Amino acid sequence: MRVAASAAVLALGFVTHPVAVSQQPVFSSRAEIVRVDVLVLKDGKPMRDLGAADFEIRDNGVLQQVELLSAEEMPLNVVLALDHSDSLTGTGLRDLQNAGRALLDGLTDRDGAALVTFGSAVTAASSLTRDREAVRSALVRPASGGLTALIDGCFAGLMLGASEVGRSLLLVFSDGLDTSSFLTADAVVGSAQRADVVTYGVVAGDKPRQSFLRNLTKATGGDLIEVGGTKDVGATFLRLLNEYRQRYLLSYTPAGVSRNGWHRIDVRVKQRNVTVRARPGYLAGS
Amino acid sequence: MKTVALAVAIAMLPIAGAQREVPPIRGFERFQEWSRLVWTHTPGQLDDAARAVAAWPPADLLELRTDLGVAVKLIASGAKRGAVAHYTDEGDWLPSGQWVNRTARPRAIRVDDFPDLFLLPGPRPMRELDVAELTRFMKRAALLHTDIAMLVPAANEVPVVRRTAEPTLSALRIVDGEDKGWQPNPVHWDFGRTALDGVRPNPANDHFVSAWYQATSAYLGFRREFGFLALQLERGRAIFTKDASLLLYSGIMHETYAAPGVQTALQSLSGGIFRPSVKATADELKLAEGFFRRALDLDPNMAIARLHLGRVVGLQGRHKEAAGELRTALSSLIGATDARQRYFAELFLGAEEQAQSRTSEAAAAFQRARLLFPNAQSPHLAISQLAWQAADRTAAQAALQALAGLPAALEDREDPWWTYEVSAVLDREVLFNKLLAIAAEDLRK
Repeated sequence: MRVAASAAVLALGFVTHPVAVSQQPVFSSRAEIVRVDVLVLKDGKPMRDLGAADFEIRDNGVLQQVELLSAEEMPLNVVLALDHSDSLTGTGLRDLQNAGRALLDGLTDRDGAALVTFGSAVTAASSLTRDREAVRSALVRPASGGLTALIDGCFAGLMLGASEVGRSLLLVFSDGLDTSSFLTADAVVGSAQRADVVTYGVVAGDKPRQSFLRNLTKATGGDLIEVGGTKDVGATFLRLLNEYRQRYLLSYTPAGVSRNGWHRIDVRVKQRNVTVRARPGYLAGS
Repeated sequence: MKTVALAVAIAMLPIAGAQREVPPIRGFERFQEWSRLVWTHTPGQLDDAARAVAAWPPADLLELRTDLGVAVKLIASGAKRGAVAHYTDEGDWLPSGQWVNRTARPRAIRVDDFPDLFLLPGPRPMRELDVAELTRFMKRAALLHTDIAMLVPAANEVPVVRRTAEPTLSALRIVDGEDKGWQPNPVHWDFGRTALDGVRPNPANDHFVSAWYQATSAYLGFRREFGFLALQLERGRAIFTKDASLLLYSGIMHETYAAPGVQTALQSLSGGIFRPSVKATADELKLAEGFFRRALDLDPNMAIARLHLGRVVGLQGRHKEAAGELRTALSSLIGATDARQRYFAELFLGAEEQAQSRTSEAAAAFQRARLLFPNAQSPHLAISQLAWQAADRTAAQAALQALAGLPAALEDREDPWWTYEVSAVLDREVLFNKLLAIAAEDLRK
């Protein structure tokens, strides 16, 4: 057992703020307070300057009292989950490393970052940390290769995102479909419904029916973006990071609804001709 | 990938057939040349004979295979001296993907020519066909072509082509879920099957033939050459109706067809391209279940078949039944030296318990799997996901911490899950050693 290596990794991230999660229940998705990360688009562009009064949230059809939290005051946790399978070598891998670096450059000092890579092996190459140099170093480690454990990799990314206080964003890149995960797609999408982590997927190449990533991003209020090749990933990551910063963080204390089970969330903006993107619901009791 | 070579020291065995001078038989000169090379080939070696045959044009090999098939049919029907088979060689798919049309080629094979066709030792004219020598020839022929198939990679790698017509023999090569193109079945495995159909008195009672099908099926399964494996198993099962190993391999093949890697590759096939004979997940799982049950009917103690049965039953949503099968498999595996099968059984049992909302039982099974292979990631991920589902965030994060603590180097964190579909054929070298030992005995007689 490589206990020494375990200790070194533990010192970086996971154990840093475990107590913080339970001491600040206002940021959890327990039945008492529900937090909803919302993107409002008008003509395809993020819409800003909306207030709490502009939003309506229905929980299982019941209108709720909405508060608008100050997203700017909350640290941002960005988890990168990158495909390192055999199909990505040479130029493709370098493009991904550059894309990761570009994303890290787009973060502020208050933001945290983490890196997960997946081939056959899922590697938490870097835990959630504000030490961006550590994450940059992790980016250039050799790819593990093998098959594509996309589902397992996304789960690890979700857990990393859920490990710290703050708003969490998971950015997943893959050029293929899952071929080797042990966890099932349903299990991980179900896990995502219990985690307050917005997931965006970026896929390259001509891969039809990315049903897992489509379902995962939809379940978390994110989106699935298709790009032509790995050279486009960096710009896409930055665009998605920018878009994420322009989301609204709403919260409400559920009233008039049952405490347990799945709750459907409907978010509307009291304006016409806008697109609202938010997670479709949550599991109470999680 | 390491190639398992047939390392039989039969070089000292008499090769009287090859040394004999026989008159050429018109139209079958190539056949006679082939027979000479069958006799001179040293099994297990990439020798001149193997290289020579491997280098023959594909059209010649296909014609030769057809001729051999007709000859074997005559042998199998017990045809006596004077019998003649007339046939037309209509054509076939070349390995390059082209159809060769040979409709204008009527041919005839005579039993009376067999001694000179196969270069059998013995006086001429031969009163009766020496069936024992013919059988030895057929086994040598099978070994020659097995060696070519295994030791001459170019013999199996053909240009990727797209065809609109359905090929008669084909295999889909799938790498990491991507369709890499078509690879028509190489003729050498077909030679092996055809030759062994000529073993007398009955291939079904011959332990060399049995060992050959088991060893080559394991080899093809290990290489994930499922298209070729399907043909091997189909013929093997037809001959050996009570061979539990062949039924196990058949089940594993269909179980693999149902897996995401194969199904996603099928999804990526665009219109106009032939889809292989792989069914949807549900149908493949049913087929797999059927084969595993048949294997267990023959050998109820076959733990590996029960383990696979439990897995496919669980994948079909019958979780309580699956858990029962997996527990039975585990009790059969007590004391087994290979921890992999126990690992799979515990991992799958954990999944089945989880599906029945038996959280503590699931956690216990996943933990037992983790103890068997502490550096494997799947139990850690499973424990984390189970805890998250049960709203135990602390335990979920702790399991992820354990994942993060696994060694960085891939070779230090092997997860048997990655090679689950070939775990039943990791003993292919043992099977080939068995085949070699039988061959050494049979060819010495």
